Amino acid sequence: MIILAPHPSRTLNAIGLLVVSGILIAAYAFQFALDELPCPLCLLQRVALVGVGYGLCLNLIYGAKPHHYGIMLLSAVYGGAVSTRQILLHIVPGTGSYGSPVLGLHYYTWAGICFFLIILGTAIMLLFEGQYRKTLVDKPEHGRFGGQTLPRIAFFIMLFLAAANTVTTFLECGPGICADPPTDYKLINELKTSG
Amino acid sequence: MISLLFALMTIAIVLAWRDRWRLSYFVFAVTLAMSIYWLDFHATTPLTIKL
Repeated sequence: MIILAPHPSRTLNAIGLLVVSGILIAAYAFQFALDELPCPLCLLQRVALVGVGYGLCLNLIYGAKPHHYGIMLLSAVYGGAVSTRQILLHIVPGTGSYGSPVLGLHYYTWAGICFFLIILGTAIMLLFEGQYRKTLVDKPEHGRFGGQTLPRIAFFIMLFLAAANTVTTFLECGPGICADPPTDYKLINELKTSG
Repeated sequence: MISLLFALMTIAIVLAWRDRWRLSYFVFAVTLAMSIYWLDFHATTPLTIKL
């Protein structure tokens, strides 16, 4: 059995959550700086990232448990399936691409790599059985997040990003089906034309 | 409708934070099922690119 105490496990999960949040923030940066609207498949990849974030949040709140990692794996496999679908869509020469390349690769290719790394990282974390033990920091008087600050900060950043994606996706797609490819923020345009 | 997926994920995170973990798992499971539906929908609609 490989030993990893609950306290460092929670810190590692918090760092993981900050990395996932960083990917979502980078996606926002490209969306607003380059004025490139995310396509429906791109949005589904973001949903998968939030799903991975949800699994990490559970680890931060309740402490590490195998089924929390299972939730992360389910979300990452789903995200990997979406990004693979989008990579295959453009893999034939002459079929173009979606969005600008970043360091020579398109967003969906980077997303595929990220989901692969998440699966790999989660599988490695599952090896450390010592993290599943209850310790003093998990007592109720220490509150949620084991009384640590970093997990608390990481949790609220992810919560904010999940809520922000709800709003921006609603502005882009409205209550109906997202346009493929999207050309503008549908809801804002509808409000402008009606007002 | 994809915004609904993000909204449900947000709700699942909030429920977990408020110690309603059973409901939180249920909301996550519903979201994942809906996500698969939307993947199927967007993956099987006619392509807009020239092949």
